[in-house]
Parts: sequence; structure tokens; C-alpha cells
Amino acid sequence: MVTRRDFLKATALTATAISAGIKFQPRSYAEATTAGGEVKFVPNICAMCPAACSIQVEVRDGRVHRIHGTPDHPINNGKICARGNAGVQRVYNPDRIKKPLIRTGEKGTWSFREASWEEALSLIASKVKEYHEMGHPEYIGMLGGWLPCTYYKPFFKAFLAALGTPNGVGVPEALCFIPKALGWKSAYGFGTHPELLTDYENARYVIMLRRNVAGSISVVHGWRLGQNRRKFKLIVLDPRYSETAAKADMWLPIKPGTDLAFLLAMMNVIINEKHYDSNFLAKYSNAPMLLKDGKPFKVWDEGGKKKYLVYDLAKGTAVEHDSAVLPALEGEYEVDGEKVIPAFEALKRRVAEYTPEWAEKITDIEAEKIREIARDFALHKGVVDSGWHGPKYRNSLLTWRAAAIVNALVGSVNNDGGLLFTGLAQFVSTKAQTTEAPPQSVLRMWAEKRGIATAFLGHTVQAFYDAIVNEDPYPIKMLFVVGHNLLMNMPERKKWEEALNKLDFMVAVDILPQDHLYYADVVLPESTYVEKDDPLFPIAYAPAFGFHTRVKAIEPVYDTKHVIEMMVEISARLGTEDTFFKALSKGLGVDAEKLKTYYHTEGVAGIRRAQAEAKGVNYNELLSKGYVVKAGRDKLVYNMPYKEPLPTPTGKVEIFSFMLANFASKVQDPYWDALIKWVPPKVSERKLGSNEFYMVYSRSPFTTHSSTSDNPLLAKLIEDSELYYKGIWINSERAAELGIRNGDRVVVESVYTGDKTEAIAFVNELVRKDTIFTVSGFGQRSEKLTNIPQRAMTMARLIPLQFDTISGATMSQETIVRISKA
Amino acid sequence: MARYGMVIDLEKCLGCEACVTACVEENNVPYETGLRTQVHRVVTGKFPNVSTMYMHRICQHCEHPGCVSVCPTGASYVNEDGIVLIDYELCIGCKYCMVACPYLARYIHPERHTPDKCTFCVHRVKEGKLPACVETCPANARIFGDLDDPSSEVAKLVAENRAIPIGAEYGTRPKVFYIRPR
Amino acid sequence: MLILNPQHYYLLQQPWWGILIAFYLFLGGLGAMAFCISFYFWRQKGSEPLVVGGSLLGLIAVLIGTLFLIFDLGHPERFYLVLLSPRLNPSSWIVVGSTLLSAFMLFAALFVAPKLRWFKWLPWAKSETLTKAFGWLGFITGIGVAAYTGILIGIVFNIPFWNAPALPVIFMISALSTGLASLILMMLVIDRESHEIHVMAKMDGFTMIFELIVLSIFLLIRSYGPVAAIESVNTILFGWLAPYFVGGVLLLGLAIPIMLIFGYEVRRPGVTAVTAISAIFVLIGGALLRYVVLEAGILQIPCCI
Ligand SMILES: Nc1nc2c(c(=O)[nH]1)N[C@H]1C(S)=C(S)[C@@H](COP(=O)(O)OP(=O)(O)OC[C@H]3O[C@@H](n4cnc5c(=O)[nH]c(N)nc54)[C@H](O)[C@@H]3O)O[C@H]1N2
Ligand SMILES: Nc1nc2c(c(=O)[nH]1)N[C@H]1C(S)=C(S)[C@@H](COP(=O)(O)OP(=O)(O)OC[C@H]3O[C@@H](n4cnc5c(=O)[nH]c(N)nc54)[C@H](O)[C@@H]3O)O[C@H]1N2
Ligand code: SF4
Ligand code: SF4
Ligand code: SF4
Ligand code: SF4
Ligand code: SF4
Ligand SMILES: [Mo]
Repeated sequence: MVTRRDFLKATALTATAISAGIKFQPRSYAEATTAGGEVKFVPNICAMCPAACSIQVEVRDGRVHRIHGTPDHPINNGKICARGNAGVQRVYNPDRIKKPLIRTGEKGTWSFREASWEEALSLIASKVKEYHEMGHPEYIGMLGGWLPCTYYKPFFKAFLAALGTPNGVGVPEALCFIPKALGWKSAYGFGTHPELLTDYENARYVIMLRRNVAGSISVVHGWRLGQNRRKFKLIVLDPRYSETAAKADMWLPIKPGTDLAFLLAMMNVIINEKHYDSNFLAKYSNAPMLLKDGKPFKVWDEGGKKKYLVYDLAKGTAVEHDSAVLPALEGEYEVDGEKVIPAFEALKRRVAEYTPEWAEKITDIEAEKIREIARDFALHKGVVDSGWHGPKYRNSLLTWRAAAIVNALVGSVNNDGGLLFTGLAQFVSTKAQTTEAPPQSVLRMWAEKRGIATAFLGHTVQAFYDAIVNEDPYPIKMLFVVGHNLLMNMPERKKWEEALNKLDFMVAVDILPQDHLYYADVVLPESTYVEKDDPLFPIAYAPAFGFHTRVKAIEPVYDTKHVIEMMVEISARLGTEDTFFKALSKGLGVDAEKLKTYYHTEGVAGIRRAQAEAKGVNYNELLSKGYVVKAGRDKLVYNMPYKEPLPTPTGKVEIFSFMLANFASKVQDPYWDALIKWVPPKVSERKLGSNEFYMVYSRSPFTTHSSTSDNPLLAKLIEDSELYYKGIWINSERAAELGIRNGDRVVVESVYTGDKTEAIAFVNELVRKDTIFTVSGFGQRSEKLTNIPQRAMTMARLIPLQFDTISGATMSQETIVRISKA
Repeated sequence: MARYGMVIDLEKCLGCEACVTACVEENNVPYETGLRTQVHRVVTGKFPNVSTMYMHRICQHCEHPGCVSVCPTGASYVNEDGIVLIDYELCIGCKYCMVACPYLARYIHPERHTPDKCTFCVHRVKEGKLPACVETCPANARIFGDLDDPSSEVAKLVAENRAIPIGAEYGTRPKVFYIRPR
Repeated sequence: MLILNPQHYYLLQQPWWGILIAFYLFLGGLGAMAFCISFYFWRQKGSEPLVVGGSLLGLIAVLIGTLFLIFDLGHPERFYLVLLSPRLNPSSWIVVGSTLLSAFMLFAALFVAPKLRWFKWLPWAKSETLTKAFGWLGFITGIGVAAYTGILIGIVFNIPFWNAPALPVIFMISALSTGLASLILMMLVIDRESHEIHVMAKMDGFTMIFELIVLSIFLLIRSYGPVAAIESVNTILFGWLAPYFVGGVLLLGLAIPIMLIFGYEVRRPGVTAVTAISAIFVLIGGALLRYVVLEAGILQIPCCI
């Protein structure tokens, strides 16, 4: 039955649709769509989200008419998503920052004057020089969002060198992927999102947890999942009915933060019922490695890899793994008079207590269901999806590690239907040397002081708050914020407003008048992706190895520059341009002089040419197609760990993780060890009050974090989705108890930060009773953003600024909120 | 001479609305006012037995189009390939076609002051290209082709009865078909 | 759009035809019937002011109604295409209607013109037969105009509330009733002593009783109809349209005039204020009826498979 409510809503909808009128017309709509004129297609890489789809920009008479997916590209196969299509609206968004801006009035207000590039860059350089003269270049810090983090890392490192400060970081490390990446890495040696890919084309059985591929869509995963949907069984664990759950064969509304228990119980079943792939484990993992009292029995280094003993059942003695014929996985042995057991046996004993019945109490998933899934999974040689975003809980790292182990148990590693290692992983990441942060880095010092095991990575962006506000460990006074929407994406917004207020000088490089620009002293407008040439990037996410790039399709619409140009020009004003190119040369593996001369003749395109020459890439092919593929799927699948060693300390899949053992040795009371164990989420320590909920979040398929909410077309789609994407989801039963009806305004208050935000309630059946769900990325305060969806909540207010001691990540869902009627 | 039709596979559809945006960009659709195609979220069930389906609003290019039969001036017409189109020059803007379309396929174009709707991207189809929404769909959930060509995927899906029309009771004989999600 | 727990359809109030079209439907019906009644009185050798004034009134009302229709167009300047389009669709009810409208206006004008001081020179002014023929043609096309306003929306099968054979009948009766009311008012101005006022008032009374009956049957049937029709009935009886329909159409436009006519007018003819008031009420009710019917047009849109 269509209820009266629905009807009224529908009528109201029409009324608004009709009265809304036209706010913004990018061009004359009446203009014929088949207009003639010069048409060209220019290759580029979509920058509407980090998924790096290859695109062809269709330019007609000097104007971007449309954006298409690049046919046959290994990432997106000619497809792009809603955001990719709406990229046109980013370029021509009249809200864009059109010239450099210099502050004229109070911080916190939009009081700027337009300035020339010369003036703005010189002002910045003179500020930097002040710190140099003070002898404290390290008082300068830099934050980059996902865009610079994905594409310009070597350039930022070079720029930091030119500035003379060690204090720069890509925020996605702590905010987005580090725990997940380290979790997989602990087993496979790599694990960031461009490195892993579920083989949806050949999958038989997929378990997806803490991930929403169909909603937090990246086309590469979206098309693979969507187009192959009928070919495999899909099990989705999610506290709310996600877009991916909507495509699943089974949706399990798991209690937030407890996936680890589910995976441990799967291990329990698979191991106890002997459904594991003993051949894979014995050969390609260190499962047979002998342990004594939980520590490797004997380990030595050889050819850059760790070697160890296994018990060879064929020979009846302990030998080095690779020379064993039949390495034992189970049992207890005596070697050199010591009682030793294989790592697998240790794992078996460890998970013995993690029965499905045990997990049922924690996860709210019936024991029988867990058993059934574990058996089906093993029977079909299933795969647990790689995930992407994963800083949400204290146990995040261990959860993804558990996923890696479960995949290894059934041998679904880099084979058909399993978890693939991309070209980027196997041919690029493995070669890159891992760099430690300099010891005097504010991030590292801060994290070390707090006993974070991974402090040496220098990724704990939370440090900037203490450094700015409490001068702990030392002050940060000048800050560059590049392509990062600081006040929308950093936890605990109030604290960052305080910090930005306290800064001596802030430079923001952005394209839109986002909230944090209200605190900037100088704003530098960047060109959008279609307006710029870019360096050479390895193809990510795809079962292929190659390179692609961005080619400028149109001249910048406004007076904007490439961020690389800004960095070089500031360096030049500081007299440190050579430092910049030298550091860049290290990062790119290209001769510094060449980089510099090419840059000065061709701009950023010159850097690309220099890279292409160094990598032996056919430059003409690159420019015309936008990409070159060096190796296809056949070279990647069944490569590591079968033919080549993995970049783990042992070169094998690590059931016993040397990395985690090392981490554990760095802290006081580690809550993990080298195997795997249950760690409850922090939120489970508190009993929920009658108006309290766990909060989980995701993205909408047509928005990227907070950076697309001002895109007029995408904002319109959000408005059209009504409460579905704009509201917070509350289970109807709980809502009734609290007297909240659909569409009511509610106040959401964080139990931990005390900050609150208003929201609209979407009362539904799609979410657990103890949980609210929201799409984050809306609720900006900037009045200069004229297209943003109205009446949505500001989630960044509700997450406390915190960290876990293993990965240093933000634990963004370790938060509890109170809901009341507004 | 073809009989073009579309199949929308609601099993594959991810609700990502790439189709909607591709259509907007390709056809310069005044999205503030109206859209040529739209994705609705249809939510049913009781926790935890729920479902979300993505239903697509789009002109069905009916074989017995209500819009054409009521249109006084012949501005709404069916072209030789079975595509229902609007001749914007002949249209007087009486909106009779909008009232008479059972699928809510039309909206008023704010500059043309006439109705507008999906054209099956006839300008692309004539050049041998797929409609914009079909080309872009990450999941290949929109399939386009000639229903009269038995070897086309659309014709097969329809012949096998896997793709079925909606609102058949109106007797409009739509040429857009939907595959029911599980 | 977000659709919660639907069953095959979702409902949407048609947003396209509003007050201008309502006025057009109202004036078209009223004018056409005013002319037809005048012609009837002409045949009955009725008074000159009634016949001439009534025919003119009918003609002008239809003309103004047509202007409303034209102004509602997205392209008023292209209105001629409804008759002259190179791809004219003669089976469109707008074409049929426009033809009827044009023909009606033509014949009504031909009928009434020679009766006017300035056009006495017209060649057929003296020919009773020709005048009669034009009158009949005007009468027939007038009936057509009045009936077609109902058919225009009655054929819209996806708006079940409209899609009922009773609707053209109701519009027709209402046209008759408002036509009468308009003539009553006119006569009250021109010649308030005329006995024809009371004849017409009585006719109107009976018409309205009939209208009330048909309307009730229509609503009763529609309240069993498809979801959208039920929703329409709910909306006009209990929803946001109730004040207009129950208050405006039923009470003000039908019940009160009926009471006034049979309780007062018929017994104590000659109190012009009461007659005038009831006629004005009838006109308001008639206009509101068109408005309510248009606004209650709820589309039943298939949304599930
Ligand atoms: N509350 C909340 N916080 C989150 C998340 C969340 O879901 N909710 N997600 C986390 C995750 S996974 C991530 S990856 C991070 C992402 O955090 P951010 O990287 O900050 O992501 P966006 O919100 O996309 O903001 C990007 C910024 O770059 C600007 N921008 C866009 N294009 C360009 C360009 O071409 N040049 C320049 N210079 N700037 C540009 C945009 O205007 C915007 O200010 O946020 C993390 N934090
Ligand atoms: N459309 C769109 N796509 C994007 C982005 C975007 O902004 N927009 N951003 C890109 C980026 S930077 C990232 S990091 C990725 C993020 O994409 P994902 O890795 O998919 O991460 P999320 O979107 O945060 O949410 C994943 C799902 O986990 C569920 N969830 C929350 N808590 C739990 C839990 O405890 N257990 C389980 N099993 N599930 C839980 C949420 O309800 C949500 O449906 O998306 C990328 N793709
Ligand atoms: S997934 Fe969409 S937004 Fe992200 S890169 Fe691909 S097309 Fe662009
Ligand atoms: S683009 Fe394809 S998958 Fe996305 S909503 Fe449209 S039909 Fe569905
Ligand atoms: S869906 Fe509507 S507009 Fe399209 S052909 Fe059918 S009746 Fe006409
Ligand atoms: S609005 Fe235009 S297309 Fe529609 S019926 Fe009227 S004339 Fe025909
Ligand atoms: S076929 Fe063309 S006009 Fe129709 S919905 Fe798809 S993109 Fe839009
Ligand atoms: Mo992210």
C-alpha cells in the first residue's frame, strides 16, 4: 500500500521540484547537444575520488563537454561513476576559487582580497624565511588530503626538503588505510587499497566485511562486482543494510566492531574441521615455522630474507623451510631437546576457544550460520574481500590480518577467484624501500611519547593538534593544508578549529571555499585535473602493470596553477630549488638535472617526459591513449608468492608475523602478538544508555567525502535521495521508543567529545537497533559553498580525536552518540 | 529501421546513478528542474529481512505511447526506429503528453518551455554509439539494442522472458524492460 | 526519490495543469452552455435581452477561457499549431476540442452578430433559416465544447480519478448549471423583472440536484477504484482539498444554492438578492469543481516489478 505519508511526500517533492527553479546554469541548456565545432578527446585520470579511473575528456570548442571512461583500460574498462561524469561540474563550478587570496580580516571569517601569484607566493616565502632565520624550519607543517597523498607524495617530500622541515603527512594514512594496510601487510607484505583486488571475475564465494564496494564505489571494484554479480555468492557483514548488502545473497547485521570474532570463529571451524589447504600453507606460508614458547625457534638472515626451521615429516627432522619435503603443520615436536610446535599448531590452539558459539555472543550472528559460512567458504575456496577504509576500531589491524589468514587458510591468495596482488603491488611497491620518518619529526616524537608501536612511520596526524595547541613535542606555527578538507574530515572538529585559530600562518591549497579556508592567511587556487598535465603514475588497483597520466585538456578556466608549480616557485623564492629537485630525483628515480631542465622547458609535462624516458615508456602512446600497459593479468596471477617471494620478512605468507612481533616488542602491554587474537572494540566497554547508539558511517555512491558536496549535480542527486543519504538511519523500534518519527530533526551528541550536531532522522528497518548510520561528508558551514545539500549533519564533530597503540589510526567508529529530538 | 529497446538489469544495478549523470552531461539536461532518467530507492521489508531495489524512471519508448496519441501538433512522435521523440519546434507546451504519460517520463525544460525526456540518445545511436547512460554504467546494468534483431542481447532477454515490462496493464507496450532482482 | 514499502505503484499529484486550465474548463463549459440555453430561449421566443446577451456572454466566456488555455501553453505564440501543424494529430482531444471551440465561436458569432446594432448589414441578418442553422450549429458545437472538457481529462487512463465515464457527464451538468447561473446574473443586471430568471433558477435547482447525485455516484465508484483514485477521493473529502471540495463545491456551490432555490426562490420569487447570491455561489462552486478535479488528479506510476 502506498501510505498517505508517501503520497504527501511525493506531492511535496513535486512542489519543491517545481518551485526550486534554476539556481545555476552551467551553460545554455537549450544549446543543441549535437553542436558541431572542433571535438577532441584528451586522456586524463579522474580525480573525483582516489580510485584513479582512466578517462577521456571530450572537449568541444575549448570547453569540456563530457568525460568518458577510457575503453579497455585495465582499471575501469571504459566505465566511470556518477562523480566521474559530474567532473565537468567541478571544472565549471562558479564557487571555485578563482585567484590567490590574502587575508584582510579576522580569522574565522571570509575576509580576503584577491592577489597576484607573485604577491601570494612571495608572502609565503617570506613567512617561511622568518622561520628559517629563527632557526626553526621544523615549525612548519604540511597536511595533504587523499589527492596529493595518492599522486604527489614524492613532490611533497621534495617540497618538505626545500622547506627544511620533516613535518608533513598525507592524512589518509591515519584517517583512512594504515591499520588495514598493516593488517594485510602483516601476512602478505603489502595491503594498501591499490595493491589488493578481489578477483570478482572468477570468484566463487565472496565475504565482504567493513566494506561497501557498491556504495563507496570505485569503478574498478564496482564494475567487477556488478558485471559479475550472478557468478558468485556474496555474503555481506554490515551493521546496516548497505548498497553492497542490497546485492548480497546474505546480509548479516553484525554488531559493530566485532568482525574479528567472526573471522576467528571461521578459522576455528576451518581448522578444526580440516577444511584448510594444507599444501598452500605448508609451501607458501610460514605456517610450518617452528615456535618455542610462542617465539621463532631459530631464525637467521639469508639473502635479505628471514630463514627458519620447519619439521620435515619426510625426513623426521627440522630443516630450513625451502629444503623440507613435507613440512609439518600440526603436532608437537622435539628438536635439539626443545619442545617446539609449528606456527599453525599455535594458531590452532589459539583459535580453539574462538568457537562459533563464542562468536555468536559477540557478533550477534548465529553460531550455526557462522559454521555454515565457514564450510561453504572453504568448499568454494572463497575469498574475504580486501577492504579499503579501515581505521574504525582498536581491533582494525587485527581484523584485516584475520581476513588475510582466512584467505591463506583456503589458499585464496593471488589465484583465480582469490585475492589478487595488483601490478602496483608486485612490480612497484616491492621495489620501493620503506622509509622511516626522521627522528625529529613531530609526528614520530608525538607517537613515540604515547607508546604507539608504529610511531616510526610518522603518520599520526593527530600530533598536529597537540603540536599547534600545546607545543607538544614542539610547536607547529605555520601550516600548509593541501587538498585536504581539514574541518570536515579530521576527528573532533572543535579541536581543529581551536588549532587553526592558534596558528601563526596558514596556507591552503584548494579549489573550493571549504570550511578550513576561513582560517587561512593565504589561499592558493589549484587547477582541476582536466586543466593540468601530470607526472607519470603506475596503474593502481588493476590486475595489470603499467603507467598512466593526465594530459591537459583545457587551459585553466581561472587564474590557477598546478600544485607542483606552486611548490617549485616557492622553493625558488627560498633559494632551495635545487634541494627540491634533488629530493624529487630520489623519490622518482630520475636524474635531478634532467628533471629541472625538462621542468623549465615544459613545466610539469617535462617531469613526465623525464620519467617516461627513465622507465622506457613509449611517450607518444602514453600521450595519445593516456596509458601504457607493460604486463597483463597473466604475469601477475600466480606470480607471488608462487614464483616470487612476497615482500614479507620471510618472503612467505606470514601466519606468524615478524612485523607484529616487532611491533609488540616496542610497547609496554601489547594487546596483540605475532599470531592473531581477539580484541574487543573499545565501545563494547560501555553499556549503551536508552538514547545511546554506536555510530557507523560510509559514503554515498555519488559523493566523495566532503569534496563533492558542492558539486551542483551531485548535490542534486543527494537532495533527490531524500533521507536515504541525507538523514541518519535509526531503527524504527528504537526511534519509536525515543518518540522520533521519520523526518524529525534530532540532535546527535557525542558521548566522548560532548560536541553535537543536528540531523534529520530516517527511521527505517535497515539498521541494527543499537546503531545509527550516516553518510559522512555533508554539513559544511562555509557560506561560500552555494550548492551543498541542506540540513545534513556534520559528522566530524562527533568522533573523538584518539589513536590506537598498534597502528596509530583514528579509531573513527570508537564513538557513542546520544540522540534526542531537536 | 530498427526497433530499439533497453533492458535494465536490476540485479546488477548498484544504484550508483552514473547513468543519471552521464545523461545530464551528454544531453545538457537542466538537472535542477528535471531529469531524463532517475534512480529511485525502493525500500521494503522488516529488519533484518529487508531489500533495497533501484527502480529506474525513464521514458519507455512505448509502442502505444500515451504521449503521442494525445499530442495535438504531432510534436511528440515515433521515429522510424521506434524511438519516441519530441519536435521542440512543433511543441506548443500544452503538457497534455505529460499528463498522459503513465511513467512520469517527462519534465518541462526551463529554457525551451516544452517537455523534454529521454531520446534514447538518438544522436549517438545514429552515429553507431551506445546511449550515454549505457556506455557509462559500471555494472553493465543497462543494455541497449534492436529488439527486432533476434541476436541482440535485449531481444534475447526479452524473448526468454527474463526482462519484463512494468505497467503492462496500461497497454502502452513499453520498450524498456526490467530484470527483476533476486 | 525514496519509496518506502510500495505496492507496484507510487502516487503523484499531477503538477502540470493548474488554475489556468481549471478556469478554461470552467469558462469553456459555462460559455458553451450559456449560449445553448440562450439558443433554447431563442427557439422558445424568449426575451431579446436574454437571447442576445446570453449568446454574447457565452461567446465571450468561451473566448476568455480559450485565452486562459493559450496562456497556459509553454509557447502561447504557437497556439495556431493546434489547428495548423504540419503533423496535426486529429485524434488528439486538444485538436478535437480546438476545432469544436473554433467552430463554436464562429457559429455563435454568426448567430448573434446580426442581432447587434452594428452588424445589421450582414447578409444573413434577415434570413431566419440561416440564423437558425448557425444557431443549431452553435448549439451542437457548444454541447461538444462542454462535453469535451470532461473527455479531455477523462481519457487519461493513468490518472484513474479522471478516467471515468461519469466525469464528462458531471462537467456537462456543471456547465449547464453554471451557464444558467451566469445567465441569471446577467438578467438580474439587464432586466431584473424578467420572469425567465425564475424559470432558469428552477432549472438550475433541478440541474444541481442531478449533479449532486451523479457526483456522489462518481465518488462512490472512485472510492473503490485503483489506489490512486482512492487517494484522490480521500484527498478531496478529507485531505487538503476538502475545504475546497466539501466547503466550496458541495456546500457553497451545490447544497446552499439548492436550499436557497427550493426553500426561498421558488416560494417567494422576486427577492433578487437571494437569487443573485445563489447564482454567485453556483459559479464559485463550478469553478472550484474544475480546480478540485484537476488538483485531485493523482498519477498512478508503476515502480516495481
Ligand atoms: N568525518 C569523516 N572523516 C573522514 C572520513 C569520513 O568518511 N568521515 N574519511 C576518511 C578518509 S577514508 C579519507 S581518505 C579522508 C579524506 O580526506 P580529504 O582528503 O580531506 O578528502 P575530501 O573531503 O575529498 O577533501 C578533499 C579536499 O581537496 C579539495 N580538492 C579537490 N580537488 C582538488 C584539487 O584538484 N587540488 C586541490 N589542491 N584541492 C582539491 C577539496 O575541495 C577538499 O577540500 O578523510 C578521512 N576522514
Ligand atoms: N562513492 C565514494 N566512493 C569512495 C569514496 C567516496 O568518498 N565516495 N572514497 C574512497 C575512499 S578514500 C575510501 S577510504 C573508500 C572507503 O570505502 P569502504 O572501505 O567501503 O569504507 P566505508 O565506506 O567507510 O564503509 C564500509 C561499510 O562498513 C560498514 N561498517 C561500519 N562498521 C562496521 C563494522 O564494524 N563491521 C562491518 N562488517 N561493517 C561495518 C559501513 O556501514 C559501510 O557500509 O571508498 C573509496 N570510494
Ligand atoms: S570511481 Fe568514479 S570518481 Fe573515482 S576515479 Fe573512478 S570515475 Fe572517478
Ligand atoms: S549506472 Fe548502472 S549500476 Fe549505476 S545506477 Fe545506473 S544502471 Fe544502475
Ligand atoms: S513512457 Fe511516457 S513519454 Fe515515453 S513513450 Fe511512453 S508514454 Fe510517451
Ligand atoms: S506539450 Fe508539446 S509534445 Fe506535449 S502534447 Fe503538447 S504539443 Fe505535444
Ligand atoms: S538513453 Fe540517453 S537520453 Fe535516455 S536516459 Fe540514457 S542517456 Fe539519457
Ligand atoms: Mo580513504
